[in-house]
Amino acid sequence: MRKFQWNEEEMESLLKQMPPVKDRRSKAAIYEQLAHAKQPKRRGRIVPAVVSVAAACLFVLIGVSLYPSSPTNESKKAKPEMSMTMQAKEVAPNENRTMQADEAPSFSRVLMSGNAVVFGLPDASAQTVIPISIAVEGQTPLNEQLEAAKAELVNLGLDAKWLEGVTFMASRNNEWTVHLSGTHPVFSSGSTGEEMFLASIEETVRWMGGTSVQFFTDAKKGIDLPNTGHLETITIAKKQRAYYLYAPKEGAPTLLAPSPQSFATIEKAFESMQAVSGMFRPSIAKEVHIASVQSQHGDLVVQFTADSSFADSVSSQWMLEAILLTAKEFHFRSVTFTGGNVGNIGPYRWNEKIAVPVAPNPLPVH
Amino acid sequence: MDSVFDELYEKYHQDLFQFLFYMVRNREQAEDLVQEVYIKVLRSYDRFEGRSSEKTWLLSIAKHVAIDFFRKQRSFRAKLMNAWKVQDDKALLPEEIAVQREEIQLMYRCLGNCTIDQRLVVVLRFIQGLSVAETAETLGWTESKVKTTQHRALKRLKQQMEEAAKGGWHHEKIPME
Repeated sequence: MRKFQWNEEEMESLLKQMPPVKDRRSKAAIYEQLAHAKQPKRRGRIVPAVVSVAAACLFVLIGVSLYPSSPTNESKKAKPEMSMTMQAKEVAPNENRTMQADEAPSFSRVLMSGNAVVFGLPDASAQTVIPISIAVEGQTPLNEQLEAAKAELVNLGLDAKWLEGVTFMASRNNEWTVHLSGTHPVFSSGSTGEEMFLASIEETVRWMGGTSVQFFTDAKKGIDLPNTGHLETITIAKKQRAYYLYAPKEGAPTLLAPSPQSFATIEKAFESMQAVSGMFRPSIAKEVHIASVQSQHGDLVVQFTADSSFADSVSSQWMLEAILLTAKEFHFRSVTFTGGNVGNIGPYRWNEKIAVPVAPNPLPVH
Repeated sequence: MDSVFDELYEKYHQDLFQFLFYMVRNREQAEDLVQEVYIKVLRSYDRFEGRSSEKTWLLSIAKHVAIDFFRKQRSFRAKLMNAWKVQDDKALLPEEIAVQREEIQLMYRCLGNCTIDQRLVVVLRFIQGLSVAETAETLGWTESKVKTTQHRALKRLKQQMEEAAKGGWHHEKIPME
């Protein structure tokens, strides 16, 4: 007879009857793997110690991004009155027209020059974290920037509350400290909220060029998250990400979102930008084909096939911007677009080096 | 072979492995994590002051390794991957569990729905057989927190078991790993 109810004693008894699960490997095999694994990890073990030491050193409250401006923004050469001609092949007749590119720049999803503060913010449905940038002039504290931008972030379908009342401080070695109060909403936000909070911190610090984060709750070292447990330090994993299209909520503007995963090569990243599905949309349309990708002294040359068909100017511009941001992830300084029987798309001219952007998704977003 | 490793292995290896296995519910992950525990233990063994028992000290290190694993698991990449693997997770049971009666299988599956803290307490208290005091020492908690978390864990497990039972769990055929 099957049971449908259990009392507490029965539950305990069942748990005590859970079968023993043994490691099937031999002692020698484990030791061999251990000896093999010990060497490369030793270097990484220094990091927490360095962070601790750094925490005791002089911290500088950073209000603006550490990202330098892009002094050679070659895309500026693009003139607003430029136009692009849509390619006829495989394009519907009503789309086969000359589009004015002077509309496109206002829909740009990248900041091409200057300084920016970049916040990693979860979307309202807590599915992913989107980097949003605010161009800054002068030394404006980061929290003030966030406060000023909050209403706009809500309209975009992003949740800014995780970074409210959070202070970011940097030491000299790209090790950051994050201070928050014991009343911060993350402590009562459940496991998803904790995950979003940590991902927001990681993304924000990543854009500041940080390599690790040490947490403080009020004056006490570490944070005690009910589901995650006690955390003192997180290391910002090095990643080379692709950029996809993502609309945080129905009717919200489309933003560029980094891939959750890292890619070994930029070719693989581009492939995923065409194939991604689920909550993200491909940033490279399936009618666009990349013939080759070449690295030339820090410049990435992306050649499109002659039969590539570029859709409307806005989504094509976002495609180029997604490629530019992806190139930045792979440490390229500039990108040159060639082929595809196109002279330019939006402000981006073909056969010229275009400096990689400073940051993604600058506010205001249209 | 390192004599410290040799001794620790003989005394505690299967306990450590079992703790990690029931925490992460995956044999391969448990194998990787137990390696990490040894690496940490061997590096800090000289600093073990004997304030706690050797076993609770080792388990506390294993706890940190498991929590770190869960934190990494919660990265977005893992979240996406996990979303795709939901079906597999429901369908597959480790061999040791799959040969048990249905109640035990159900309990194993419901354990996966506990919070990490709840799972820590349940695994240490009932599967590892630690006392409340030893569990508190391992987790660095008060005994009162252990008791409260244990109570909540059992309540949650009971609720999950009963919901699953009413939902017709006994009709499912669960294949082995």
